Amino acid sequence: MIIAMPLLLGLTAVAIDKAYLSSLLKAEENRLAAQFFSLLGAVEWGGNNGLNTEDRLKEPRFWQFRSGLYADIRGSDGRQLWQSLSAETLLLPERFDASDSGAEQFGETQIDGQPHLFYRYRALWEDDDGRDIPLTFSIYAEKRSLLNERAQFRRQLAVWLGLVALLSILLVAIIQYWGLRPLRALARDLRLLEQGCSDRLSDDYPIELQALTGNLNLLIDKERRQRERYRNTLGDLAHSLKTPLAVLKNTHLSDSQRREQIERMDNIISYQLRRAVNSGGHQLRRKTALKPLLCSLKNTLLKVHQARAIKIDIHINDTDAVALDEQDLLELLGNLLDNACKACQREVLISARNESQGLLLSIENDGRALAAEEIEALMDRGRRGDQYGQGQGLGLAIVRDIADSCNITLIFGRRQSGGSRVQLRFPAEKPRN
Amino acid sequence: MRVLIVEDEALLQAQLAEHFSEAGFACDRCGDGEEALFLGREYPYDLAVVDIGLPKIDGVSVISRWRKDNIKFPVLILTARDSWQDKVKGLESGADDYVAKPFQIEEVLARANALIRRSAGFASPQLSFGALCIDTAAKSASVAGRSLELTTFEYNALEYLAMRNGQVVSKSELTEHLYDQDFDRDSNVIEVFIARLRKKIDPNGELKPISTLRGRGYRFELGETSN
Repeated sequence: MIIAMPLLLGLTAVAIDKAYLSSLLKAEENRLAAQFFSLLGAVEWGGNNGLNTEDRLKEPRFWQFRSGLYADIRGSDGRQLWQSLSAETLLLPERFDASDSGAEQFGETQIDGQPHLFYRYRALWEDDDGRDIPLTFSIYAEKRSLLNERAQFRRQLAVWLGLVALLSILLVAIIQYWGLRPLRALARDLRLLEQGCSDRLSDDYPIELQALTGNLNLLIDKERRQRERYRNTLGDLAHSLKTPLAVLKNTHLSDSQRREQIERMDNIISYQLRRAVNSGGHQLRRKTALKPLLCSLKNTLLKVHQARAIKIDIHINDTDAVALDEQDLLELLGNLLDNACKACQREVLISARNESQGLLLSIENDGRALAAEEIEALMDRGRRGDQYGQGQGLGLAIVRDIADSCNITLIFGRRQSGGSRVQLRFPAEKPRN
Repeated sequence: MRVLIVEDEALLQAQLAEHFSEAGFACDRCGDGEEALFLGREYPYDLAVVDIGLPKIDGVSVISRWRKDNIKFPVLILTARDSWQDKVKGLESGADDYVAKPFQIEEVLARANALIRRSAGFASPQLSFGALCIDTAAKSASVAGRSLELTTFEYNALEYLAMRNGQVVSKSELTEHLYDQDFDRDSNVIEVFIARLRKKIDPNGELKPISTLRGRGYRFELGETSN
């Protein structure tokens, strides 16, 4: 921006200079045309004496020696018939392209090594005998005064445009300094983060940057939690595997006992891996639409449970969406729907409604109604996921983990028309800044 | 029934092939997606068991391309990644069921049998054709409560014909579905199986379950009756 401003001003200066020169030339042409008409009015045919103006030519510069304004009149053969007194001792141009009668010419020529502007007009003059005599009137003016005027204009233009350029550069520099101050602060904050001197970006940013810094903070938090979760998962995994490994080290094991321990280890690995990949609920304000995801799950589950001819009905608006990572949502709903399909007689119903506390998603099945103690056990948040056996709620443990980390409330209950129901209350979206 | 096993881990591939062969399947096997794609396009399998993580072309792409080519045999996927995202992706590619690794081979066999049965339009593992009952889970058959002593190939021939009851099955089709690609196609062993089957199922010639259509093949004549 700072470099562009002088360039722009330079181009402006060139344009103004050209326009000014053009207007000066036009004014000079008009002046010379006026001198021509005054000469035309003053000149008379004096018979054998040729052309004369006597004292009818009022412009004093025509009478002043080398005044800078000259005139001559030439015949069709180029012979000079008259010249102004000011042009005495000067050789005015003899050879030029004679224009047609009544046509005017304006241009530049050299007289005595100096640049001069000329105005030329070819007229037909009627002599005493009524014959038409072609005459060429030429008016010459020194170009020096015009060049001086132009040089003076250029000096003034340079001074003023220079001042404008300086002020502009100063202004742009000030704007850049103030405008980029928050970005410099952001860069400084990021450096501090890199160096480990800070653990998040400050909240003190202009409103235009708050969306960026807010999301960066979410990303940083998410990355930190993810790292922590991986570390914890690895620790938990190692710890949980030790017990079955210790059992397996015992050589006096039957095949069924060995198989039981391997199955336990498989459960532990499955649970911990699925727990580790859940995003931790820190979605960068990107929503996942529910309907397409539920339709994909429906198609999958209809294939998996094809033998039982289950019916899955989805009553959800196309616009219903939740601020949750797609993979987490698939894992959450996949497990709950799979459980519903396993539990149902024939029918699973999925519905959603928007409430003031957030979206409420219900998954109902027409199978056995849950007993009160079963509901109590399902609502028990303290139960460790890796203590479930295969097919005994490992999926539910994953559901519990994701729901807890994403602030989703799980409500298990009975369906009024028979069967069981699980409801998920997704947190209401916080208003954007 | 003829099955294609696609698994890049040689030991697991050998174990699967061994168990499927023991269960009476004719097995073709390969270890990469490119070969699987070729075999699937070339042979009329009754089932493919496909690992998702394959060299050259991954399992999901192999299945998608089969389906694009209108190849309709059921596909059971084996996956080490058992997240719902992977399951949805696998089944949306055209697979029919999945088994997560590590698995019990019995579960894979049960799912394989169920898929073959369902693809033929039978919901229950017990198929009833009047007095003749075929238990596809136990791989056994009985007539009026009398259990039949069938060899693996005899049972397979019976199951294949029964699942296509009313349709003409040529000798070459039967051979292709009962034997793997190394089998000698000129053998007249099919005729021998059918003759033995007829004798075992219908010693008195009352049921007449399988008829021979000269120059065309065989047809299972008994209609399915509900259990």
